[in-house]
Amino acid sequence: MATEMTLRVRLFGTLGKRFPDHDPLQGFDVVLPAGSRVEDLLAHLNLDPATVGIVSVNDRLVKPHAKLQDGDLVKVFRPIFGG
Amino acid sequence: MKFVRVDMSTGSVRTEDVPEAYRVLGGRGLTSLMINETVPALCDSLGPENKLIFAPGYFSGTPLVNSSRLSIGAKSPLTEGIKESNVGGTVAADLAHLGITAVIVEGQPAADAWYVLRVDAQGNATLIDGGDYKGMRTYALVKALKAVYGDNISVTCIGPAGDRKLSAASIQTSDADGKPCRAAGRGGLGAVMGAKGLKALVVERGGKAAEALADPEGFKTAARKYAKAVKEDEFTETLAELGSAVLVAPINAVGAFPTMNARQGQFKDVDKITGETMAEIIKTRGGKTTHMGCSQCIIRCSNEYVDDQGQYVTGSLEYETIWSMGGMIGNSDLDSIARLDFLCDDIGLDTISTGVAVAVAMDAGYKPFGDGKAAIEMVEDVARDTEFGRILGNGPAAVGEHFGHDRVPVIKRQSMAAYDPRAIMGMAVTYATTPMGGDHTAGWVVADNLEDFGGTLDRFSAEGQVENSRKSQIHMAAVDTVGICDFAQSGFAAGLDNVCHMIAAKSGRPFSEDDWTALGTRIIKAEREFNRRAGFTRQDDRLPKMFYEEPLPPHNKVVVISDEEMDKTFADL
Repeated sequence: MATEMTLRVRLFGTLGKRFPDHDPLQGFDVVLPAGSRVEDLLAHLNLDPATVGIVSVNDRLVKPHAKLQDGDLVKVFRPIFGG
Repeated sequence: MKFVRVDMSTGSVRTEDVPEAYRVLGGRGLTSLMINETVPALCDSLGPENKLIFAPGYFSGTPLVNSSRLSIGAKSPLTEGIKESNVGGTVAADLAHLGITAVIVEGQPAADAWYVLRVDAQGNATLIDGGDYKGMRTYALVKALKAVYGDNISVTCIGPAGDRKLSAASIQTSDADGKPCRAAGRGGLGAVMGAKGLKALVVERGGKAAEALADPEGFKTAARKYAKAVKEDEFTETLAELGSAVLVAPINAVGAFPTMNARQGQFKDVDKITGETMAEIIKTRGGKTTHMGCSQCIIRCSNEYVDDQGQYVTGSLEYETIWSMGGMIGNSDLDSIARLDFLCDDIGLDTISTGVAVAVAMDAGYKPFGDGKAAIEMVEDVARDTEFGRILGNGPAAVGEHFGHDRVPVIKRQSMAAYDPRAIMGMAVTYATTPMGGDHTAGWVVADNLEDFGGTLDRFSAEGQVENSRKSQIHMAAVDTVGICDFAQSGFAAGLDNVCHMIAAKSGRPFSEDDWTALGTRIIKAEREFNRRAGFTRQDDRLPKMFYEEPLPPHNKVVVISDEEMDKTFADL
C-alpha cells in the first residue's frame, strides 16, 4: 500500500499568495501521508482556520475530518462577505 | 443644511431648510420616508406626481471612510412600488460637501424638453437647457459635460434607456476617475429621471460647506476606530485584490450560482469567469486589479478591465454582473461579459435586470445559452431602439410576457440577484419580503446560511430564516440611511455602539443601539405602507413558482418557506 498521496490543491481568494509555486489558475501539488484528512492538509499548509471558509474535494463540499485520496482535487476558499 | 427642490413643470429651483421631521436622516431613510409621505402611491410613476429624490447618506461628507453613498428614491416604474437604489462614486460626498441634504425633483416638463441640473461651487443649483444631450450614451455625455463645466465635477446621469423611460434603466454616476461606471441600477429609476426630462445632475467637487459636526473630536475618534476595523478585516485584503468577483468560485462551489436562467446551481465553465481568473487576465494585459472608485474608500474593490491591446473595456466589473452576463446566460467568455458591462453602463441599463432579461429570452429559445455575441447584439438593440430592444429594456418580466415564458426569476417584477434561494434559503425570505422587489442588498444573509463561513442556519431549512432575514433587513435599512458602503460593514466589528456614537457626535442628539433598530424598522414600515397603498398584498411577497417546484441541481432542493412563515417576516409592519 502506498505510504503517501499526491493532491492537487487550489487556493482561492488571497490564500495562495504565501505560496510562490501556487499557480492562481492551476494550483499546485501537495504530497501528504496516505490516509490524511482535510484538516491535516490545512495544518500542513499552515493555513489559519480563521482564513478558511469552505473546502471542496472533487467539487463536493466536505468537512475538515473528511479523508483524502490520492489524486483528489482540493479547493480551499476564504470566508466571504457580500452584497 | 438644505434641500434643493426642482420643479420640472415650471423650471423653478429653490432651496429650503431641512424641516425638523427630516433631521438626523440621510440616504434611504430620507428618500423612503419622504416618498411615502409626499408621493401619491397610485400615481403614474412616469408622471408629474412622482418625485425623484437624491440623498447622500447621513455620514457622507464626514471624515468617515467609505461613506460616499447616494440613495436615489422614487416610485418605481419596474415594481410600481417604493424604491431606493444606492450608488457609490463621488457624488454623495460632493453634494454633502456643499451642504446639500437632498435634491428633490418633481413635476414634469413639456414633452421632449431636456435639462441639466448644475450645482456650482457655492452650492447654487441652476436648471440649464440640455436638449443637445438628448439620446447620448453616458461616456460621451460625461465627456461633453466636462468640456462645458470642467473636469472638477461629478456627473449623475441617464443614457438612452433612461431617455426612453425603459423600466430596466439605471442612473449612472461617475467614479473617482470621472467614468460613469457606477450604477444605481435597480428599480428602473433611470426611467423616472427620463420622465422628468433630467439628463444629468452635474455637481462641482471639493465643496467646503459640509454640515458641522456637533462633536468633531468624538466623531473622529469613533471614525478612526471604524476605519481600523475595516483595515484589519480579512475580507478587505481579498476585495482589494479580486473585487467582489471573489464570490464567483465559492458561491458556485456551494451550488447557489444561478446558471442558465437558474436551471442549475453550478456553472460547468466557472473557472473561466472567477475573480481569480479575471485578476490574472487583467494583470497580464496591464489593467488594474485594484482601483479606488469611490470617495474616501480604503478598500479599493474596483478594477479596470482591459482588452488584449491593453485598452480600457470597462470599470468596476463586479460579481453580480459576472453572474448575470456570465453564468446566468451560460456565457464563459470574460471579454464579452466585460463588454456587456460597459454597454449597460453606457446605455444606462441595470446589469442585473438586463442579464436576467437576456437569460429569460435565451431560456425561451430566442438565442442559445452561452452566445455572448448574441447577448451583445440584444443589448445593443436597446440603444438601436428596435422593437426587441424596447422589450429587453423593460426587464425580465416584460421579456417573459413577450415570449409567453413563465420561468422568470423576478419578485415584484424585479429580478433576483446572484444567489439562488433554493440553495440559500434565507435569501428566499429577503427576495420575497423586501419592499424593494428581488434585491440581494436588502438583507444579505448568505454567510449566515453557510456553516463553514460562520453561519448558524441550515441553508436548506426554513428554521430561523424569517427572523434572521427580518433582522438583517432592518439593519440594512439603517446602514443605507447612514450611507456606509456594504463592503465596509466590517467596521461594525468595532461595535454598533461606535456607529451610534458617530450619529450622536454629528447631530448633537443622543442616539442609542435601540434607536438604530427603531430607525431601520421605521423605514421598512414606511416602505410597506407605501406599497400597500400602491396595491400590494401578501401575495406579492412570494417567489415565482419555479423556486417552489423545480429542484435545483446539484443539491436538488426547492424553497421550503411556507406562505404563512413568509407573512410573519413583517407581520407587525
